Amino acid sequence: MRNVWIIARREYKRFFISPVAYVVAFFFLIILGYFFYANLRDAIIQSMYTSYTPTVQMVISPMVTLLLFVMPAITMRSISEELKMGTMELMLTAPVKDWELVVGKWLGSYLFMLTLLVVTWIFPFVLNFLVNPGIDQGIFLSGYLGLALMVASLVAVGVFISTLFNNQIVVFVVSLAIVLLFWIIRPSSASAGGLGNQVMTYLNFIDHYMNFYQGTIDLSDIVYYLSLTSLALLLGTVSIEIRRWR
Amino acid sequence: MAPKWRLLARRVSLIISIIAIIVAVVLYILQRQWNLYLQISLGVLLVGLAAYVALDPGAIRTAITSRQARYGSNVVILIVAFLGILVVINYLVFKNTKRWDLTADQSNTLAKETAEVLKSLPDTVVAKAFFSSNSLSSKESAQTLLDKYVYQAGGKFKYEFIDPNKDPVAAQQAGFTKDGSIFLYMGSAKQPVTNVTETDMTGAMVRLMNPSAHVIYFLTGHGEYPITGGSKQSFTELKTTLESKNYQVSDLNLLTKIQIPTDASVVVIAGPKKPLTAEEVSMLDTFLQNGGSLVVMEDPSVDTQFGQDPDPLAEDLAKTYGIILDNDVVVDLYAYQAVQNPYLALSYQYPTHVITQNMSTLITGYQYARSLTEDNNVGAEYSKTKLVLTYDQSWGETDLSSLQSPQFDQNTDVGGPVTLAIAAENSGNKARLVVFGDSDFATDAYAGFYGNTDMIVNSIDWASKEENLINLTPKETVNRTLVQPKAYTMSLIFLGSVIVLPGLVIVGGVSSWLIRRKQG
Repeated sequence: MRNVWIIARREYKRFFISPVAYVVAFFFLIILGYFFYANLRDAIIQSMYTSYTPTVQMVISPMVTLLLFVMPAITMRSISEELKMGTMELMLTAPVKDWELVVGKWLGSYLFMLTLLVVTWIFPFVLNFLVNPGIDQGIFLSGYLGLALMVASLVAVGVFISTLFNNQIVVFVVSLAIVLLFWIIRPSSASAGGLGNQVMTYLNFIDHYMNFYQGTIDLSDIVYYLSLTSLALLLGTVSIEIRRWR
Repeated sequence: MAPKWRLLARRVSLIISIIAIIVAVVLYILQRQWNLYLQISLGVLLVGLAAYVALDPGAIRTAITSRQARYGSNVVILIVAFLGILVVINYLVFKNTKRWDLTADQSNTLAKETAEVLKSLPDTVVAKAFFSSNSLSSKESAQTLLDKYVYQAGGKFKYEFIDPNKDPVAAQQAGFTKDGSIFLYMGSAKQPVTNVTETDMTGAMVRLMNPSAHVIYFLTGHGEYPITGGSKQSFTELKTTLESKNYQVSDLNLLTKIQIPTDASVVVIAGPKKPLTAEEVSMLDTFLQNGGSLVVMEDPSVDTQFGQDPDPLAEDLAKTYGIILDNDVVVDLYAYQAVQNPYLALSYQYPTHVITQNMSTLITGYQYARSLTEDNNVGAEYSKTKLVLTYDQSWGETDLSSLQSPQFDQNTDVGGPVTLAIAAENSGNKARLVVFGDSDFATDAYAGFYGNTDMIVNSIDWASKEENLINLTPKETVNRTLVQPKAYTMSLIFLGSVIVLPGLVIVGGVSSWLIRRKQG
């Protein structure tokens, strides 16, 4: 476990050195900030005519889409860089188990993403002052909890894909493609009911976030995201192990 | 070393197999049929693979038993086993999930009355929700509500969405009339839900469990329009709608009876062309005194054959209940401007009442109507509410000979806005009375006019006391308002969100780069 923590810390620190992380964080925050300002302006106008009051959903809604694109950019580097620079062989000979390497990389990236999420708390914080008597804390809690789980699984998928290729661009594109696939998977309207349709409905990535978004914590959603995270980490570990045989 | 032709043949058969599997997948996606072409491509795939193996069995044997293959199969087993465990866990949790509603208003949880109703359901309830592609946003909110019912019902509630345009047969079987409505089925009983709210859904479920036979009697014998036949001057559509709500609808000729049938829930007097007799009125009074309910639709005298005969019903309504049917015809200048019909009295306002609470956007129109006046000195035990008010630019014209070119006379006419309907409830025995100054609005001729059908059906529902079956404990909602920020505050927010925060990231990046450069 100690190895996991060492690798995670190293990975986390690397983000603050790498220009990619700063560029991604910059675009993430500026787009989010712009949406916050624009949505707030719209909310002000709307609240003059109707009884509309903005909730923390106003902040979270653009964030979900942004995160889906940010994740592949953050994780594309994690293992493929080692592969490209040839330091992978060094890592494989070190007294570090394969799963410790993968989980460590995942944890480092995940902690960086959590840091970014914490920075975005400034927006609900400001909103809390603009709403009387304050925003619904329950939705804030569940919304961010859902985001934390979603990000965990996205980072895990990204780390897994990163173990497959040594070209970061390829990792980025493939990660994005897989995430989008899980995002839009839905049963076709032609067929009704059936086990295949139920499975496809269950696999949809965003649907499992909706309860969190509305202020409800559903155990099956938590299990879904944890399952996806653990599966991706397992596949990542296996992928590294396979390299040993080569 | 295998001869060259063998190597080539192996490669060719592998390529053929790959092509065959691609073709098979594409065929299946396009056609979704287990047809001959699909079978052929799968056959080619099998033959190709077999040839690949047969042409050099030694290579295959080495591949299968190699160290890589052994590790590989271990890995596959591991992944499959792990996936299997995940599937089982996800399935078990999905079927027995637990939820925590963190909202301050508990807005994601159903009321405790709903939970109790769901617990006491004797059988599974299936909800068929008819939403076309025009109502996607209301479909989403309906689905959110339906999911909550599924979660709390513990398996006793299921739902499915049906597009009435894609499946008109199912729509017709259910009695579908309005897009965005839901039909609840339990066994052979059916209940429609036109307004998809928790109150209406739970109320419909209560009705499913207690299918009380409400009988609605339409009075006959005075030239009233029939309730069958399907002509424009009939109440056929109203009868059909009421029956789809599990009411029994029948005629009632009081002239041949000595009392109103004991199973009567509501008696509807729908536009008599001849006056009722005093005996009939007396029977109706007794009916009301025993807690029964009446819906009276009486047209202006010019629209009837009353002539100069006295009208015992109108007199009784005025003297006993304080509801006066004015002897006028409503002239509506707004309707005259809009549709060149000055005698189509249009609703402008619905004062607060259960009957009209969901009708705020639905206009109703009454062709040749008379105005109503409340007399609060009479019938004090009946609390009266005006149901429908017209526009300001309307009046009740009392000079019935001047109807070709009516002029408003302040001294004799009833100034607008006029009342077109009044609802009254006896605070003691809970008898209910709804009086309209027109009957045409409920006929087939005008049933399609915006809110007309809703108005008469809601009135009958209210009269038969169907709407109070369920009273959900109102949730304590926290009233949140947006404090309008000053322009200065908004500029500050813009500065912070779009400039300062991202700017700090840039500063951080640049300084970390500078530090690293300094360190060499």
